[in-house]
Amino acid sequence: MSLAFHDAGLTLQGKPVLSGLNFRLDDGAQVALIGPSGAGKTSLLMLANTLARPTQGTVEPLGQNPWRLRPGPLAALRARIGTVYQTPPLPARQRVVNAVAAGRLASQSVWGSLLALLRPHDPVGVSEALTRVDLADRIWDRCDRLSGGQRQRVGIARVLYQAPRLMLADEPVSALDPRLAEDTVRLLSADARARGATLMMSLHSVDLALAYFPRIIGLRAGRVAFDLPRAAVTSELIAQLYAGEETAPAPALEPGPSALPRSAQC
Amino acid sequence: MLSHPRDPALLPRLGWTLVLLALLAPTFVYTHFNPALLLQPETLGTLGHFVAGFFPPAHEAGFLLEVARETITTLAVATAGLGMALFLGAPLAFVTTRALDLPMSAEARRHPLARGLRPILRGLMIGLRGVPEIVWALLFVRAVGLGSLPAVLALGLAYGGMLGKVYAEILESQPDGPTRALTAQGAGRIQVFFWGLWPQALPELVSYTVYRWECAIRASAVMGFVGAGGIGQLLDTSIKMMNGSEVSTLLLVFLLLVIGTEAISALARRGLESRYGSGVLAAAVATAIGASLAWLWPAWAAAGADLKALWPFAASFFPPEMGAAIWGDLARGTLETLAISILGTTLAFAGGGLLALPASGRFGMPAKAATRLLLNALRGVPDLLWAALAVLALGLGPAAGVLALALHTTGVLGRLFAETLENAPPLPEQALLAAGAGRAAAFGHGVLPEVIVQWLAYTLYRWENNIRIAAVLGIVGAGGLGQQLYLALSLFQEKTAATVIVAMLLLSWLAEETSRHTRLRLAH
Repeated sequence: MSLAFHDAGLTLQGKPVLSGLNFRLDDGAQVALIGPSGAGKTSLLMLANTLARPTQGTVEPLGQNPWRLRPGPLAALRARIGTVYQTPPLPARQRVVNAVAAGRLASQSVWGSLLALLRPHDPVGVSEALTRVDLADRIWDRCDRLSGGQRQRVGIARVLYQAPRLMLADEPVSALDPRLAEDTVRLLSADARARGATLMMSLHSVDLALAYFPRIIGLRAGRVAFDLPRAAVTSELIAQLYAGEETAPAPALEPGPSALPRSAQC
Repeated sequence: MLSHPRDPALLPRLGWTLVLLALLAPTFVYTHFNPALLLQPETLGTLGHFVAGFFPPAHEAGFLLEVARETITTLAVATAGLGMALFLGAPLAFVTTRALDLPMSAEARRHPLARGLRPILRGLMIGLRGVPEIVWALLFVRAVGLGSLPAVLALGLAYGGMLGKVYAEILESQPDGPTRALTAQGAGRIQVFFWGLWPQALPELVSYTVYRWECAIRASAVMGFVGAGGIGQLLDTSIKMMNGSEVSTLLLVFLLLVIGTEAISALARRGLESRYGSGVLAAAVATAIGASLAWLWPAWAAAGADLKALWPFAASFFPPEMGAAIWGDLARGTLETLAISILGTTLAFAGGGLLALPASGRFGMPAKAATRLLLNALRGVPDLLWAALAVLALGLGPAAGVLALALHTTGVLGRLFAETLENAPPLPEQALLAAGAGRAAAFGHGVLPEVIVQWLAYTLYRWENNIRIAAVLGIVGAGGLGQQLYLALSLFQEKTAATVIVAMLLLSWLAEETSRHTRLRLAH
């Protein structure tokens, strides 16, 4: 079993974000997660990658409950879960080579990984991963000198380099043009298939989801609206899933007066 | 008929104005601050004589040699002190920052020892930075004797607590995407720090450290007032001897030092951006700290300071004096400190506001350049040095403290106010001018409402600072609690000194809370 949600729910600051989630992904499954913005797609993936703790029920990635593990086994479990984030988690000023190599930090000793900051560890392996996203020539560049789309591809290369058993992707192609988006979805899917890994990907584009994923989960208002093989997903179901008003984000609060700049404190 | 409803804001505004006046009036009484005193013939005479002595600055070879030696000592003390602060603050920040606290199972949460340790370490840092560096220096001078060692220890402790807190805050203010992602794939705390946090936080950490080094140099330059070596020792002597020409040389050297360090710190910030910048910077810092220690060491070895003497000395402060006799003095000192800080800050608010107009370029470039220069000079001279000079003009007592705070803070606030003016949107004022309003009216209706809340917030923040400073100005004879601390330590009444220090800490805590609440009200 690669990923199992048992009656899982998430309540944040008194507001239910997700509730009553029940589904399981077998080894090697490939699932697309679709639904309107605010449906809880990102939160669901964060439950799966152990960054969020379910407030109801349990979530078991790779057959283990992360919230019952001691630090060592927890780190070992996390090392086998890879996530592509919508905003690539790349520290400014870090070089691409290290941003990708960070995918395998968990398997390195602390000292080894500190030395690797000065002298990158496995440039050959990293460059292979970068070749697959067509960025091999930027390996020695700094992340903050890349475009948004390039940064997103670096984030994907990191997960390819990590080669996890459970691969999660949160709108991994939102910053890419349609051609590249399609190539990238195909790449992740083929990589997971070749390694027998499980893939769950949230997507903005219903077309991409239907084209590349055998199973589709539709999420609406924090609940599973449908969980069906691709052939059973009708245009009617899709219309219902996205029906209703667009919820506008709350306006940002007027900021108060700013604090004394640090340079005026002595 | 039109009705004329009463403005609902009228009464609260009237009330606050009365409260402010009621606060301000007694401060004049408590501090005996009388601006007219500055213009009295005898004051002007003394001052004039003193200032006339400024030209030409002293330039005998022997004196200059001594100045050079003490200037290097001042630099070395600041550098070594900051080095010690780094060794203290960096690990404290790493252990206490919340930036690395990420979701974990109940079993995997921090070690119970670390959980218990954190509040203790946070408390330790509050204590370390709560006591001003000059007070630490005063204490260490009593404990290990005159010289530069107490200055280094004082800077190390006070700035160590400060760096620990600010580093932790800087780490917490970074985007948490990278750290969360690394945690989610199983990296450990140290790995997450160096791979996820360090690369993006480095520029801010370096820039704050370099800025603290500038602060350390200013602080180190006045350590001499309590006998802790450096250029301040020469200044202290020259001021007491009313030797204008020496004072002017020393002030010039001091301003050059401040300008020089600002240039070096700008260089360091820019160097970080280049390819091998961080490596070069790290090497430069290590070399500078090593060289500083090498320069200071012979004097320390010769003095044979006994660090073991610190323990019995520290023990002699306990328990703090609580006898009835002390309360009267303490209350008077506290009120005086409060009054100095309030009046000094209020005057600086007025002064800063007035100077900000030309400093923001409203009266043309020459006026702007000249005011900026004036503001930089006001700000560049530390408050304690202003106080030593103000004592000459106004005599011993709290009035000198008010003048010193007002002058230094005018420099600080004037620059900040000018920046807010420059950043304010120009359109409202332009629209009023285009509609035929006069310049003053357009400023009052188009700009002031935009900036006034920020000005008040800056002033409140600065007041928090000033109450700490007002509490130590007494060390050079400018009133407040510092005067009692100095007296108690001179008379070897360590237990009384302990009570005064506790009062200082309480007062500064009280000021922080008051200021925080007032700022929250302002924001709404």
